[in-house]
Amino acid sequence: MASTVELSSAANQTEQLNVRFDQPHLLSALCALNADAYDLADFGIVAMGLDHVVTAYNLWESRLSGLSPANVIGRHFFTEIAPCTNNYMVSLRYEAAELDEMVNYVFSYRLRPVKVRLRLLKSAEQGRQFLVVEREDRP
Amino acid sequence: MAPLSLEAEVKQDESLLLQFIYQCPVGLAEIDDRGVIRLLNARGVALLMPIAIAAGLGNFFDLIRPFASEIVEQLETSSATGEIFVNRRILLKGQKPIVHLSFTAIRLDTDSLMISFDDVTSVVEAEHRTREALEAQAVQSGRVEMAATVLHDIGNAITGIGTRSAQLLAEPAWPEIESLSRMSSLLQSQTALLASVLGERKAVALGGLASALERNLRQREITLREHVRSLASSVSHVQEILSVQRQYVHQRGAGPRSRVILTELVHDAVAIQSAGLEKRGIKLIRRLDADLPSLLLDRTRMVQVFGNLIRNACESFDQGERGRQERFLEIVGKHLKPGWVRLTFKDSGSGFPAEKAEAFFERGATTKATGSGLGLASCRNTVESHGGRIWMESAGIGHGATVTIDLTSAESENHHA
Repeated sequence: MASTVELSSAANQTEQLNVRFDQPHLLSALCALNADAYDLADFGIVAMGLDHVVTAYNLWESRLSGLSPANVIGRHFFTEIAPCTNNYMVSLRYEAAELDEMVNYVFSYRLRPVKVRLRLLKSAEQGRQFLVVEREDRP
Repeated sequence: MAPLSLEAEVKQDESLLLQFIYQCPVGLAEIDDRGVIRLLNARGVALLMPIAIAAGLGNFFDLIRPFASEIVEQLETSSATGEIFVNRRILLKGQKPIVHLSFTAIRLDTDSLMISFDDVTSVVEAEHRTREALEAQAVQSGRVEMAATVLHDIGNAITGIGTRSAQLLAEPAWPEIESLSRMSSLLQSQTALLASVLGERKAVALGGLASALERNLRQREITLREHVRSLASSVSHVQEILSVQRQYVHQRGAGPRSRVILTELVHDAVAIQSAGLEKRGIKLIRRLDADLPSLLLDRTRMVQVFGNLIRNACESFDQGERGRQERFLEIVGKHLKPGWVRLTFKDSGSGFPAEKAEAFFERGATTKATGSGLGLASCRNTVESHGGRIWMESAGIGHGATVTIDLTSAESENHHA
């Protein structure tokens, strides 16, 4: 169950992650990184297996949702963690074998609707998929 | 494990409550008086996002107004706290697939409304199907009632004709003929006496006239009796048809099934359609295996099927010129394989293009000017409801047609069980 997230030491690091939300070949870039490095990103990263079970949940996403990675990892993302994405606009798109699409969407973070841009990434061949989130109204 | 502090406990409760509302399987939104969405749970996002692509998820009124402006008006004008409306359904036009949402609204205070909503598409569709079925049933009941009334009225009229025919047949020979016969004999025996008064030729002519009148009247009586007998026979035939139709009307749908010898059903159907066969000079050939098994069938409906096929065969001879080609209808019944019987109705009638065979089984398909196109569709429905199959073949126009029916005794047993 959800609990308030304690900021990890990674949040205080000044180190910058050398990946951008809208860069080309983002999936390959994320696959090449260690999951700990995701916490340095200034956008949300949810890494999943092909079964939609969460394998990594970065600090940015954790702060906004109020869910700690420990409570998210190992659970089905679309039905247990973010049912707001469980429709044809998001979850059903992951039925494709290869996926790299951007979608304007709204997330309900702590019940407050927040406009976001989603980048849906999947490579069936590599057995990896990501949901990458950027706030539209970010400063 | 150390007990949680009060503050931590409250924080944990808040977190639990947040998750409870967030994961609630019904869409929940809290909006202000101008429709601005303040809170929205996960189900709410999933339901509204497909219509929020253009408008965004900022204002509830903007989202709903294109589909149901009256609901927005009701929300805008409500002032008293409490329930505003319950289970108001909205069809989200333009969505594929079609989506129906149901909304309930409660005013919490002057500047706060709570909206709950959910996808009720499957419920609406189920209701629609039920309503259609009920309407179809009502229409069907009306038709059945009308058919029953018509059959009843025709039956009464036919019974009157039948009774009068029977009375005419039972009447004794005309007494006037017997009187004329006696007078004729008297004139014959008194020819000599009459000749002395009328002259020879006139006396003979008078006797001959009386005798000819008697013969003519007897012949007319015989002819009339034959006509009445024929009329009585036709009336009886119509009564048989009405009887079958009445049974069909009353037992429409799932009639009772009983063990029936197939050969008897074929004979019954032929008897009902015999007038049509005779009228067109169609030779009937029956080749039914003596040991055909009895099947559990809805007797009335199956007689209807066979009768329909025989009538269709008869009417196929009315279309086009058949020349001197032999007119026949051959009905063959044989074992197909264990548990299966095959019946074929093969005629030398007008036939049809081979590719049109299946189309005849569609409702409304007919080649007859006065046909409803329900006959073969109804036949297929009946046969298939018995676990059998029916199909039709022809080598083309002018080459006759064959209808084949496979019926299973196994299905009949299963149905019975």
